[in-house]
Amino acid sequence: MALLEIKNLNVTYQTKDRKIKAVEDVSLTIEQGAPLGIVGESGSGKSTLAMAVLRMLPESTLVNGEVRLKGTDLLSLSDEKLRALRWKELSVVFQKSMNLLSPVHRIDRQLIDMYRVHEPKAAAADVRKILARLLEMVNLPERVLKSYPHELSGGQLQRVSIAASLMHNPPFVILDEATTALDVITQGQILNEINALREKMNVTWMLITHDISVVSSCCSCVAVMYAGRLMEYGTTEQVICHPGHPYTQGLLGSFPTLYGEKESLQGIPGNMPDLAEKPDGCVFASRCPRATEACRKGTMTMTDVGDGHLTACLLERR
Amino acid sequence: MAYLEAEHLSKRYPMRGSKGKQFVQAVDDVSFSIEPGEVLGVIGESGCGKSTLGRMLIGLEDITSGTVTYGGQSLTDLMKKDRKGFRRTAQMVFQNPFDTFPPGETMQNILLRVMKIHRIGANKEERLRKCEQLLEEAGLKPAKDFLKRYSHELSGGQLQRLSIVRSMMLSPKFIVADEPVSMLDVSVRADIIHMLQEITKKNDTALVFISHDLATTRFISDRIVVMYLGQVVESGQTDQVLHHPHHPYTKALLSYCANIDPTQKKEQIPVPGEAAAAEGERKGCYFAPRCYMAEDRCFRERPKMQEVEPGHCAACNLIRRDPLAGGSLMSQ
Repeated sequence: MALLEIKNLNVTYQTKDRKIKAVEDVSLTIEQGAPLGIVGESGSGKSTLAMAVLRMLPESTLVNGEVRLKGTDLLSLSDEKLRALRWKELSVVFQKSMNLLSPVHRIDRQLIDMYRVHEPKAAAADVRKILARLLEMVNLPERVLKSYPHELSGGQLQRVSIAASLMHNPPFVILDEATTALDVITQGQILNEINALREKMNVTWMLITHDISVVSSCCSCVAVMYAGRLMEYGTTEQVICHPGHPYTQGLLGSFPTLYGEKESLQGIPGNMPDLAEKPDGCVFASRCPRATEACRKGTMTMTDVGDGHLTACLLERR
Repeated sequence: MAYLEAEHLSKRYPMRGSKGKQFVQAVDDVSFSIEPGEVLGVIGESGCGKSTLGRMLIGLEDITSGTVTYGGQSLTDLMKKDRKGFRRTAQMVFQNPFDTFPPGETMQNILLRVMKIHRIGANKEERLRKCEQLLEEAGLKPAKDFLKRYSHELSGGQLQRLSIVRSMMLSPKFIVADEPVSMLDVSVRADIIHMLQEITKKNDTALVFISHDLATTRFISDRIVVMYLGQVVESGQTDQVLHHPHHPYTKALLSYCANIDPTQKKEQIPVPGEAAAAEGERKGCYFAPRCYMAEDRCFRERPKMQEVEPGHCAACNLIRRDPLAGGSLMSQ
């Protein structure tokens, strides 16, 4: 059984006079031990997708489809049962970890409180031991527990929140732009730690990022999103070395490299369509260099181009 | 001849409550020069003083010690004599395009005001015409439509273009661009970089491009300086520095640099700990506590900038004895 299964997920934000389709008809599966990276630009719906899985969207949002974690449908679960699952079965690390922690309490007190949500009777000394072991795994000294958040650097805080997300040993964790705000070296180090944790703790990630290099260094599968739609899905090698969708190709072409030809850097002209008034046909057609008349009319579905490598490009469907 | 010269620039911020005894040394003895039309990339991690340096160059931040000269004239004199005139010489492009423009005004008002203050164009019609022309040149078509909009009605990429247009309106001789693409999506970054490149080459404008992203900087810069804790540790032609680095910090930074190819794995150089705070008087090489080859003398002696090949300098005491020398990083 797949660890996480998303089927035909739609998320629509409603305002007074507009309906914004932030996620449209997305289906994905994540297998145990095969972390998935979701890549997309701002407004592509990648964070909305994660929040839908976590059921953290505002109540006015329309969500339909299926999200199954180890077979349990998260979308229809009662609040109480969902609370029992959070931290234990799935947890999340956000981009701004300083918002996870209160500035006026020491880290150990906050983490022990968090731990006791699920284990109310746990003795402080035992919890402290567990926390120290977790911190060690993300290369933090035990004395961090006695610090206040303002005494730590951004990288250290991010490590604390990664450790916190693992305190109940969940099999599935969502990392939402968890390394985005960090320096190059710190980001590299944290990604290494994440890779090591995958084996040590037997945890599988869904990693959301706009940075393709992050995905290529620590995910085995990649999903590319654009304007709320899934554009391409496959193993990291399939998608990054042999991109099938013109959008993925464009995205990779606009990524600067340290060694390539300097002339090769190319942006994608145009802007993302208004998500409240999406055009017919392929959402990328207005910016696509290969778009034909048929692309502006057809319906988007995923086509298998070989070995489970899926693309939403209409030109591949013959 | 160099257009802009910075010599021994330093910036100290006093720490609160210490009555000036304690301070943070944000920029520490930085010297370099830029030719007209040249693009200099300034690379470093957060807190290395690269933004403070940029702001000092165009007089947004007071200089603690050292001098900046524009075509032979010192910055302090220029500012004293004619501050408004100096603003026509040097301009800045900021990181966050969403904060660059006042939210309650149309682009037309914002852009025309710049021209009015600096007395460009005889009347409103002429200014408007010039404005439209500049926008069209920057790829914002139709210009009339863009001029009527408010900042919240534009995307980040469009706003950053407008920000560059506004800076270039006064045909400055020098621009500081502080992380101009880091807030933007990857697919629009390339276009903004091309635009900056074109505009500076066309007008022979010198540009300081500040960034934490080595790969992006590589595409725009002619030369690069790498900063660590307020000091320049390495400088030289872009590809010389990035492909044949000599300073251990530059090497470490490059080894962590993003690579999108999952089949290529790079050996990462361990950099333990975190950058120390740049507080108080410091001795020796600032990178020594995290360096893989530091010796006792590195903690005592401040390394001098040495030329390793023509135009390529690095500040390291042990530069000739690096176990990682000889292009081992260049295995790809």
